[in-house]
Amino acid sequence: MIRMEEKLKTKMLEGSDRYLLMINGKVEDGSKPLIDPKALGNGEVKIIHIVNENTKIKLRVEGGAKASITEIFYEVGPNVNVETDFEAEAGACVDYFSFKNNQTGGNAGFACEMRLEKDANLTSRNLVIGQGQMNFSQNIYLQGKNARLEMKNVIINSSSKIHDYRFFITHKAEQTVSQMTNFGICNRLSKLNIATDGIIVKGAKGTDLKQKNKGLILDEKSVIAASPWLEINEHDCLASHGASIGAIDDDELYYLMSRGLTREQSEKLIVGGFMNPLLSEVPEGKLRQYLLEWIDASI
Amino acid sequence: MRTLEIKNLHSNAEDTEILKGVDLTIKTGEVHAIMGPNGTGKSTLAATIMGHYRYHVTEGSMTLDGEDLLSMSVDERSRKGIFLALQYPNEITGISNSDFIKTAMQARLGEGQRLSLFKFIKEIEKAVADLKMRTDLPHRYLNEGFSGGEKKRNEILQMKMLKPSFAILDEIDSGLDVDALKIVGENINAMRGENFGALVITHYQRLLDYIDVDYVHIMMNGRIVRTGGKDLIAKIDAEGYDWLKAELNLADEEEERVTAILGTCAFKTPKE
Repeated sequence: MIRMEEKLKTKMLEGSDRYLLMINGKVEDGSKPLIDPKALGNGEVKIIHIVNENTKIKLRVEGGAKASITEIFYEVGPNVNVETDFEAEAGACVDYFSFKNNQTGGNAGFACEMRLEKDANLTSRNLVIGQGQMNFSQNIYLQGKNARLEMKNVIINSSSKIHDYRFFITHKAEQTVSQMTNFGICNRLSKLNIATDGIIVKGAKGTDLKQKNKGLILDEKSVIAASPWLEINEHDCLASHGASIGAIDDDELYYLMSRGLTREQSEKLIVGGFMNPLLSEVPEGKLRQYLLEWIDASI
Repeated sequence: MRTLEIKNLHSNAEDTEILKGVDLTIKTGEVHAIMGPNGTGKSTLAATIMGHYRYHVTEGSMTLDGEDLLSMSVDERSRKGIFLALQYPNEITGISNSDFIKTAMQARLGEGQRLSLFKFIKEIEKAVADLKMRTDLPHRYLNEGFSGGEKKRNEILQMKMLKPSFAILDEIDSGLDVDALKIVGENINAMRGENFGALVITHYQRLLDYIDVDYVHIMMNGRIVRTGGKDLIAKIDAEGYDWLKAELNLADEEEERVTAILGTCAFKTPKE
């Protein structure tokens, strides 16, 4: 274990980082299947996961607490399913960043349920890279009045396989706000399906739901499909969705090349720019470097 | 001294011949202006020199110091010293202006050479001040949300930073107010010297009030039909191009008008 910690410190942890190393949903010694919310306290924590069997993870942020959680799936074994149960109690304010990486080429399933209570505020960022088959579903319930969700997901599929992503956002209470933007990148003859379901239940007055899917296809045969679904059962609400999917714009490429950048450099810059709304929020440091190396290897 | 030489250049876009034999030689230290009515091929000439993918050269040659430019890709032409300030620069999200310029400058350095960050910052700050640009513009995404004038100044900023041997300025004056025009003109003049030559494409005299030009060319029907000095600008400004068309016996270059019937709207016929 010491060797693993040293490895992580070299790769992605700064000296001052508070972190938990979890193996199959349990903290190091196997004694704590549930992270004590007090361990999160009002500060920042990095959770590093090593998963090689089906695993359930539970995260709960206490009412009124402020937490910044960075969750890195460092190793994910083949053919495993990871289920996460996340709860932000009333008034909790959470910055959540997750990096999920299926490196093995086997199947990986990630299912996550998130519940936001009254006045809870969640800023969620997901970076997902899959080398193998990937199924991903995230179910988010805004179940307390004034709960707010702001979510950006960067999804890269360079596996030559089909990846299915499904995001359900359900507004169950009044004055709830959700804003989700997905940035999908697909190459190497892969297919990326992104389904986004937005549901506003009857009585959830004054809600505001926004969904946007952006896709960048890097070869001639890959496919990105966005399937939005809005189910609106309340008159007093705002709801919208939009999608834009395409290849790199020839004129953008020409513009960058006309300044001396090679085609490869220009494409890299454009792809980097595409992901920048999320990546610009990751502070400079080892973790950012670690993520960029993975992105570089998959594009 | 460097020489950009264009001989009998013919260029097509979507099977339509636009350039029909352009001859032009520019040396560093010289500033040339190209004027002409709409649709005569001025912007096509600029784009063809840079190697735009929509334009295909069918005949003629283009060399830089005797080296064949036509066989080079767009980026190679740029690194060889050609710069095109675009009429409509693209907006690209996620790439900061200064990162872009830094990467372009780095691309010009030899293998193993690194751009000095300190020197870059000092240089870009000075260029931004020279162009009287807002200090936040280098840090914003490339041209995103820039006004028309800011985009044009940003093209000149890139030109100042990249220091090309030859700059082609395609209607850099469109969208600029009088003050901005003066600033842009001053900055182009400031680059004049034995290592810099320019080809300024414009419709109006007003830009040329601020730039010292050595040669003025008039383009019509895909060719340069007249070359002269600054006096030619005043004549065009006063009399337009009709005198030259008459002198050369050229027909108007009106675009062919095509009338298409798009169909009729569905409507309900009242029942008898």
